[in-house]
Amino acid sequence: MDRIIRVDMTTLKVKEEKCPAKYAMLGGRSLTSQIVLDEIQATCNPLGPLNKLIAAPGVLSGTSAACSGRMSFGGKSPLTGTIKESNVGGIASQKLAKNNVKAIIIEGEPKDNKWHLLKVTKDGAELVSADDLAGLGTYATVDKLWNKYGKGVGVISIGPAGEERMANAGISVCDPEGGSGRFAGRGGLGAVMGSKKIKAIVVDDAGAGKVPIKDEEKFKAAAKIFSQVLLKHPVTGEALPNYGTAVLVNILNEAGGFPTRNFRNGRFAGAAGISGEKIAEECKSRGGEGKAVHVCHPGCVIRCSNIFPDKNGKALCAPVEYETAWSLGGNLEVGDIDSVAIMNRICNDVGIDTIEAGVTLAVAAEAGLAKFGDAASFIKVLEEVGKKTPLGRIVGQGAAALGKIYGITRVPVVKGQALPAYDPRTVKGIGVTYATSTMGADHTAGYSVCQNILKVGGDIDPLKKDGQVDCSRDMQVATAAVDATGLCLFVAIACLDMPEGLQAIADMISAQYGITFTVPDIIELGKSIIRVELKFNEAAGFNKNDDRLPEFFDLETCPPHNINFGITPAELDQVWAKL
Amino acid sequence: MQKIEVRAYATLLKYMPDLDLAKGKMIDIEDNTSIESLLKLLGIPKEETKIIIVNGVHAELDYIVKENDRVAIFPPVAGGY
Repeated sequence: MDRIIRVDMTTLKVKEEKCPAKYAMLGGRSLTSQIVLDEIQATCNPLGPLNKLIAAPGVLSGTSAACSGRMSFGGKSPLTGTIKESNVGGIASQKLAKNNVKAIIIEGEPKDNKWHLLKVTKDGAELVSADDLAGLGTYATVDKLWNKYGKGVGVISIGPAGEERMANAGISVCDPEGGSGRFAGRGGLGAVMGSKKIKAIVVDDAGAGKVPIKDEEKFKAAAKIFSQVLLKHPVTGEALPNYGTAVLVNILNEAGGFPTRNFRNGRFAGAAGISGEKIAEECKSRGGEGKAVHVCHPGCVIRCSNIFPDKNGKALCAPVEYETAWSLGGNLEVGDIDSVAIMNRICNDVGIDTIEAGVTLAVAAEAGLAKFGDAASFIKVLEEVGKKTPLGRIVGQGAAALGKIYGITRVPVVKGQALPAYDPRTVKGIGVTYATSTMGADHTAGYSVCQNILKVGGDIDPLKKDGQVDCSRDMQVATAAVDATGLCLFVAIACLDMPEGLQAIADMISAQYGITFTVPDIIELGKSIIRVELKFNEAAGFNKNDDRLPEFFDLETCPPHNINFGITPAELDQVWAKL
Repeated sequence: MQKIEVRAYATLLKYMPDLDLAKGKMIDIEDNTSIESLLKLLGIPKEETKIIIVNGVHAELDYIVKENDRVAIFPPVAGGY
């Protein structure tokens, strides 16, 4: 991949640049974060002309490596004000790679209110008028664009939330069936896309050749080992395909780390009704378009996704995942998976991140706008977003904004981004990640839940401080590297226990690019990405005082374990002290 | 004899076919029963298990179960995204 497509929305001109040598070995998050640092003024207004939206497939995307269809979006986040990389599956990444697109950089600001889409093929890219798509939800947008450009084209789009520049707006990437459920959700990059007046990016790889591989034989051999590792590990080979990511609902619930009623409790009596077991059961028993096992992109062997059907077997939401079963379920004390799926679809369609949306709804309940346990009351509030009412715009701004406007102090956010589905007091390793990640409260950034709860890659007591700082740092570094490769983060679960998997990744990169890339290089890559991100955040005005959890996690204990977070600022500062 | 509350999850559900996950299964066991013995009693092959949680805390196979313990048995799992 050596084409960089630069789209200037001020002049409406699209330029193609040859990838500079300094970016040759970068991709996904390593590329988006580097371009953000190099080209975006850290103090800029995220919705203004100086911010940029960068899209980049991963280093291995488009090859025959299993699970390599992820891509990254980057920019300055309107939600947090920090650097943001948002990672997503779906079918666009592989098509971009096959079209020889290293990155798309969207910059400037249109002078009028007209909407555009960017069409990307093997021959180039062009802006096309798209006023006919304005106001459409993401599902209808994909439908319309498949009708216009052909079934199966990659469609990247924003919903009305992104068009209205709401800080919780995400970017949708369509799945193989044309569903809109894969999201570069967190951090509001959908609002950045909306501020540039781009409604969609269509990626058509018709006629494109294969992604070039320097040493085909070596690559094939490494790719084979890699696939075998993924199929052999019991998590990636059995648990995830059969029960999806929501298989974690019951285990976090048992462990007392499943945040309930706006982080008041670590266990929810209704958890079984919103669990991976329940989702799989309903997918199977309702049949029709429902699928308990599903891929978000071709070449995935893990198949953790699902297509959740309504009671009549019609596809309702693909997928329903752990974070959403929690944020729109357990955290709201809603124990009914159908209500969760309905709210999930509303979020997908209007184009907002479900994690932030759920936490926002919980804070709304604190403000008396809805009632814990009453799904209908939450659906009513959520529907305001698409109606673009003042309340809808407040909800679309995320939990911190709604909390501030209604005078609520119990707002679980770090750097303005809502906490995901693990209580930091009883899964202390993830609490360290929440506090110190360069992107705000983020669980995938450094998923210490592996060692704390799942006993994958190590065994650390989730209720104690010991080992948590090192665990979070190591996971954040490793994750940054994986995010550059275009590989799904779930491959890390297998590789944490089976080192031959990590070696296979290094070997595939070496064979593809004709270089010697080793496992220690993977770690060094992760560190260099985080250094770039820390540098941007510092220039944007962040300091160590921002690497903290909200005070109520120390003032208050969490049943059933009844402990507080208790990891001190000095201890948290050890995460990056010697990077 | 002691009464305990047991749940098995995910791929282990097949060994406890009538289990209501919301309620769990109340069973009577002899004093001094370890988790390992409990698995034998339930017909759950121990090599298919990975995580045992008792009253919210991770436990090993040699843990001796007490009256009113809430025991949860998991195969290798991950996910959480």
